[in-house]
Amino acid sequence: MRIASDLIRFLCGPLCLLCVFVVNPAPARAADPTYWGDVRPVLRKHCTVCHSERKLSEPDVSAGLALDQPDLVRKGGKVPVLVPGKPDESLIVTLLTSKDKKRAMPLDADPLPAADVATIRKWVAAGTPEGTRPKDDDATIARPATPAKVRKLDVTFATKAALPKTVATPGPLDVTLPVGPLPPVAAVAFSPDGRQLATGTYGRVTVWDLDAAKPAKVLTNVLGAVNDLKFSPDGTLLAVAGGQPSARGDLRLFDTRDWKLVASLGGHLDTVSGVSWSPDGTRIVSASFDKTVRLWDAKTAGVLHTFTGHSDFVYAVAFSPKGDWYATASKDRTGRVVDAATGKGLVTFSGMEQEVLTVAVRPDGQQVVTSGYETQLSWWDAKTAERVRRAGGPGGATHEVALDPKGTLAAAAGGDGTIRLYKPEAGDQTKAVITGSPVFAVAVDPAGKRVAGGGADGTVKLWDVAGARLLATFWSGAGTGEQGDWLAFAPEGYYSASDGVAAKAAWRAGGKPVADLKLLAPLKNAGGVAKAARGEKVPEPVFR
Amino acid sequence: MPSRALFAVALVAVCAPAFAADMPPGPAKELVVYPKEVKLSGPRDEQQLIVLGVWADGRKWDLTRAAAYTSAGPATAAADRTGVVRPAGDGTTTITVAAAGATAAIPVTAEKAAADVPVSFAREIEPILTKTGCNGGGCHGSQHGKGGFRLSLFAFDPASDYAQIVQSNEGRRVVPNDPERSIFLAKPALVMEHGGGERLKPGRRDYIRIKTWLEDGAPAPGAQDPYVTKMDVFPPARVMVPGEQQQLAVTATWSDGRREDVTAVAQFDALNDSVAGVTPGGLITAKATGGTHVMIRFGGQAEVSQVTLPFARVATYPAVPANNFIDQKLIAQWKDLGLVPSPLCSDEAFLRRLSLDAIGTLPTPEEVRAFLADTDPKKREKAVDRVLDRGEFTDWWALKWGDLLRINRTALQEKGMWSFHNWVRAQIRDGVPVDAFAREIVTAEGSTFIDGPANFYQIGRTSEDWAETTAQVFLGIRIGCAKCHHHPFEKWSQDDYYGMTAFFSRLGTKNSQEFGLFGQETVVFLRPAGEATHPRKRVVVKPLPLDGNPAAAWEDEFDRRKKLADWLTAPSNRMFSRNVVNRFWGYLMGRGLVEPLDDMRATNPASNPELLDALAADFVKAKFDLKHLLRTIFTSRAYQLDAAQTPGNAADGANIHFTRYTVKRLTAEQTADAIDLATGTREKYTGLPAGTRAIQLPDSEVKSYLMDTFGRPARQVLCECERTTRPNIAQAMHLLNGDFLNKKIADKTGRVEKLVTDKTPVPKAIEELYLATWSRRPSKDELAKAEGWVKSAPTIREGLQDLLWVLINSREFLFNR
Repeated sequence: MRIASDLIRFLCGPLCLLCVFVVNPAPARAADPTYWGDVRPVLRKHCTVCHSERKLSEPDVSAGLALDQPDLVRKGGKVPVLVPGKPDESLIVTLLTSKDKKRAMPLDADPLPAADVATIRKWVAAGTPEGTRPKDDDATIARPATPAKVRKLDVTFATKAALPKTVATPGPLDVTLPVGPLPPVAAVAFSPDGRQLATGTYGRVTVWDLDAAKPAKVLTNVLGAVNDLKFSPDGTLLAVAGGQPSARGDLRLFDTRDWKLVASLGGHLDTVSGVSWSPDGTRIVSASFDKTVRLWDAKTAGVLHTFTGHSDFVYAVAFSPKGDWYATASKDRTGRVVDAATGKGLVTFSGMEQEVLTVAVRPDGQQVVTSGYETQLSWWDAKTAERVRRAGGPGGATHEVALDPKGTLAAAAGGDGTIRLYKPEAGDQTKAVITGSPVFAVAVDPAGKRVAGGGADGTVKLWDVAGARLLATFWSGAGTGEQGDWLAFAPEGYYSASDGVAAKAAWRAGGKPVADLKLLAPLKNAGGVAKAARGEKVPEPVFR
Repeated sequence: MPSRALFAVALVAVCAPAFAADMPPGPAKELVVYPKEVKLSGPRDEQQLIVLGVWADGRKWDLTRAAAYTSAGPATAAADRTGVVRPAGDGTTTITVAAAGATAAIPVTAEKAAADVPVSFAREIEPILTKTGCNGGGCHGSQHGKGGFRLSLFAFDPASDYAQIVQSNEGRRVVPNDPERSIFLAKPALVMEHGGGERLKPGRRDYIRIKTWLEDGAPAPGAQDPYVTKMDVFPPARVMVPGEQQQLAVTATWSDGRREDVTAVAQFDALNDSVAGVTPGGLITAKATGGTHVMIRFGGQAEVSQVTLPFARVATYPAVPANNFIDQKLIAQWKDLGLVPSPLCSDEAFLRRLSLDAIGTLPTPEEVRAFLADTDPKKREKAVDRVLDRGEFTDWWALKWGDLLRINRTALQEKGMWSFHNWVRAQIRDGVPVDAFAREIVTAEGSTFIDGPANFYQIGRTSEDWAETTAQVFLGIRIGCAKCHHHPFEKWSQDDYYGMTAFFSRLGTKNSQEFGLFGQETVVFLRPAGEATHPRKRVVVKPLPLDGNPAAAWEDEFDRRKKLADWLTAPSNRMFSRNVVNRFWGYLMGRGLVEPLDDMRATNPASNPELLDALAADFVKAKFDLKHLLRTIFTSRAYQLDAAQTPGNAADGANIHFTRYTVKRLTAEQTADAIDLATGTREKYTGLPAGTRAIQLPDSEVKSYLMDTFGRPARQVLCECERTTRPNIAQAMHLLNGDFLNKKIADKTGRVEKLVTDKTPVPKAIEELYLATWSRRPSKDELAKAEGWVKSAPTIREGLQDLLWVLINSREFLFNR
């Protein structure tokens, strides 16, 4: 053998191409199985629950081997698992067929069907061809061939307006749209100037122009769920956090002038659940269900550090006002304060018996507030991690706590369908509004005058802080045109809507269909909605 | 001997079990179709038909999968090949079933077939999560869930499950506007990695049902959602042959009155897979001879379907005499199963087992001689009467009740223990009926040092403990599971559990100084107020006994326990009487009709349910008289059967059908006393007067290495299983090599010494030792051999000592057969 290989080297000399050809097996033929086409589905069924990139941080589970990316398969674990072209020397094949129960894979489970082993063997023999990687979007969940027959459930918006007794169908007005079921609104954010409101649902970010009471932009080039939205401090960028649950995290930056995708910060292995900007706008910190927190350079989109101090999902993250640290909230029932320069944990908020879902920092940087399934608001000393106060809180769960930039107001999104408002200094509840559906997201406008809540019912509601009064309701969803269907709606009855929605709307008065739709002409009034959304008093519509 | 003759007849009559798993030949006489008519309501309703062919010779065969189904109106409804009828449109039609040369016509009505009915979470989705194992204890149903996703165990809390699926983590698990993107579907279908493997198949019923639910907007469960009140299984029982299959149909009745076929989502479990297996779809396959059950669970209800595979076909069943109804019930079952009982046991065996089982005591040599000499044909009945009147009766059964009530000085202090023990003894001595006995205990109050039964409330300290103890001791029902979640194999819910605890919620204990500072007794007393709280619903739960009528008045202004005791001991409460008779049957027969003795539940049925019911009814009729119950069992032929297997009953290896007497190892106390009797000595128990026997001890804390080794229970655990008769090497070593036995055998006042002093002739002495240990005379052969050994020993004394050592270390001594 030695002689033979020497001979080959002698004969071939510098003609390395030939050497490669000799050492490597024959190039893949069309009929050969490929990683993406044939092998990945087998691995998904039997192997990648443990041997995945996500589990590399748990070597006792994955043994340091990930099989869910072709390059990671090639890299192997402590030892390589592939010898391309030689299935009998490849661990990936021999362990599947081993008779030794302690070594045989899958561990403590039935061996793979012979056909699946044969596929992997053939793939190794063929030199482990990769095949065509499905698009990002489809890598995890294949779209059904035919679109789902989603029933169009009626969604009803009530108004305070009523048709007068003089018309054929008098009584209180409401409007019904056959657009349900609606995905929950899991993220809301005001722009720094307070004139835009960004809302996020599964696969869709809508940026509402509050002055015009209509969408300024709808972004659908996001992956999967949208869990958090944050404008950069100067308002030039919008960070969209989300991803495909249990598969891939997604963090994208959009330019707020032209809404172009500026950067895609990939790397999280599960949904990105929270995001926060450093006050100078140079860095972004993201929290993910993959149990890590990553700090990014907003310019280069590179990772500055990864914090791995949590043992379970990290739900939320918030930067300190000076940008020197950030605070986190995790399912592991703790919150942490992490040094933004070094990525080292500074202090831990502990003593909670339930998951911590949300964290916010008081603008003076002295205190951090957390809450979650223990719905009371816990106020912590940011330096010592002592619990200063624990009070208030909605029922069910607190999904998010938001503070205004001046620190005059804390708003808590309640699983019981309430948004409760507190004084950050004293922790006293000042007001509460009942939205009628679990509230997942809450944001306070920069002036501290309005609160926006995104709920499980798929709508966004804007509230006046002083009067605990509903100002406007927003909904945006799939439809024709760039912006799809949308509706902006004031409780007085004024509305502004896409053409598609206007055509689908079914108006009722006193529970009966409105006979003469011309009566409703005064309601179509974008200016009225905008005025209501600003918190100004709007006159009642006059029907004639 | 007539019994021998009977045995011979039986032998001839038994055929070899040669069955073919083929349909009976020839055309079926008729088809029995279940249900007789099909009523479908709603777009997703379905009905599993069961087609049973009945042949002229009475044999039956499941034709459900063999039948051809023809619908007269396919636009209304049609059946698939497995006999499941589904609606297509509203109307009425007929489905004709043809199989094995016979036909049957089934009228079908369908309504609301095209109605827009959203999928109900509680009624349609939760059963899928249970059936596919999602919410099992090893998966997402575990206390902390799995992979961050937690469901309630077997779906006992739909509201929490809904929140977990739809709302938790900001709706991470579902995408209502694009259902198949939901990880709630993608993971169990293995479209994404799932630690629990493949649980749903895309395109199949369960996957589609969940998808439809999401498409419907994932409607939430409501407080008024119906729950399952009743479940029926068809067929409830089948006699089958190995290889035969039977499809089951399960019908649930909901609290809103709707009856619905739930075969597709019910859970099926084989209780003995080697006799009959069952598929997740409810198709039973009979495998081997014997009897077993298939457990069916749905919506918190649990039932069984009985599967019987005769051990043999007995061409002409021998005439087995019946002493009383016990034998009648058993013989009826033996005939069905093709089992032939063993013959009657010998008089010697009978007297030994009767003495041990009734009074825990070996018969003396004199008693054996007298019984053998008696020629009265009714001598066995007379012996039963005699033994029930013996003083040891009180000792023996007080010991049994002491186990059940966990009388021990650690929990009760010494004075409390004596007070409770002596009270129990008094009840048994006075023949207090078991219902009155139970009532006294359940309603006990006062000082634990004076009022014996009050100590019942010293064993546990909370209303939960007391409710669980009461249910287990007096009903044989383990309700502990339902404290935290719905009972996995029973219908008991948390509502039932806390309904029971509510009876005890006003009970308190306080210390009293009446007996001085260091001997404080406890006083059990009633508080004027106190309620049970449902931990999940956070509401007050009103007192309600298990299966009690919620409309009846269970409140009592003085003591709720009085109402509980009334209910518990009511003649109509068969749970109580069944539990008592099953326990005593088990003590006597070596195995309960329901086994384990203290696990009475619908899904753990009796091996002979008719017999259990008959015993319970007889016990109630006899006003809960324990001696009557024991006499009935002792005088039955079943009790008096020989312990040896015969070819006619060897197939029932575990003897679950009582075709012979079940051999039992002597209990710890029986062993200790039997050794005393055999050796003619008396063990001295610390702290008790000389002459106190092992069966008279008040608790298990009286020191005895022998009894601890032989499985005396510590009385710490609420379970019959605490007492064990399992053999272990320490037992053998203690008797074979230990000093203990040698000292007793060589005791200067012992039996051997007396025989030697009296200069008893060797053959007579040998007979005496046989009678004192094995309760019988030696056979000629045994006598000859024994005489040889004894005489070859250096001295007769040593020879007899060796013989006694051998006899005691034999299986015939240590076992009750």
